Amino acid sequence: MSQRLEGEPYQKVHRFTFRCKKNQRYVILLEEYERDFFGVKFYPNGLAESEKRFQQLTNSYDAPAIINTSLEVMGYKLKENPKASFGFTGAPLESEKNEKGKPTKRFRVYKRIMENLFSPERFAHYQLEQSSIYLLINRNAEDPQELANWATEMLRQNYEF
Amino acid sequence: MYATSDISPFVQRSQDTADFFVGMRNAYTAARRSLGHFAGGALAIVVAPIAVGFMWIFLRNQRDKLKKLLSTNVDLSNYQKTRIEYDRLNAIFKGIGDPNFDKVIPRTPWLLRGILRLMGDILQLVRQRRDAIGYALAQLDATAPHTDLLKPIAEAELWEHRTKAYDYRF
Repeated sequence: MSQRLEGEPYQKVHRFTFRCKKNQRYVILLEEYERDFFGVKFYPNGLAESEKRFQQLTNSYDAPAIINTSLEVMGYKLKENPKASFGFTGAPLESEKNEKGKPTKRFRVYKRIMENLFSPERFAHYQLEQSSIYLLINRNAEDPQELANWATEMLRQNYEF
Repeated sequence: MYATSDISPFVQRSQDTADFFVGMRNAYTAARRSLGHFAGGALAIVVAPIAVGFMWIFLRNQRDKLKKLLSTNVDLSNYQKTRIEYDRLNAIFKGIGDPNFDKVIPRTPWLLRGILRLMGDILQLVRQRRDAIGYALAQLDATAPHTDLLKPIAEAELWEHRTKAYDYRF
């Protein structure tokens, strides 16, 4: 499902839902920004209303399936739009809340996956460890340098560096 | 370890030549060390000319084939394969030690000089291919967009951190 939104930094949000073992439902959000840039997020559907939906652990050991499905969604978007670039943050666990400025556990896991699956020939990789942000800028983007400038501006507006 | 299908004919032949050269060098060193003065001299007179002749023919054949296979055009569309090729070519220099044959040849017995010259030619071909790939890979870093906040992760670092047996998905 795709939805156009007013008052958000992104132009559109694509919503994908799926079920894991124990029938638990998850939501993957692909936030579409300008310049073919997509933010990837996911959370358990049961926590949709919670402020901690991106942080909380469900302890249902569904991470491999969720990450794999997120990658499928990214691949689907890339097929549809070969110029697509991506970004995400590794949300802190409850126990990491007070460790500001350190890369989170989730970030370290996702980073490893990006290094293994996204070719440097197709994507330029960026990590902002202190904020646990990872960006993949598509080298085939309309103007990759312009996209990097725009991403920098957007990050500065939303995060402290 | 990489699958054999990942290796180009140029790399395979370069590696075979390097292995052969290292093996013969080790055999020569071991024979000199273990044989006495007289036995060493006898070996040099009887066996060495035949062995050197055989090596010279083999290496000349390898050099000519490598010359035909050499390409300095690097296609990064199959990044993984090219990167593996680059690692393999670098490994050849690690094994042999990237010697400067121009300096070594005058100090070598004349019988072996032809061999070293051929080996020098072969290493020059390997070096050309390795440097061409190295340049193409460096271009990936040079052309990556960057800002004062966004510094691209170097291609070599990304490669080093990944599990080499995996194929890239995107």
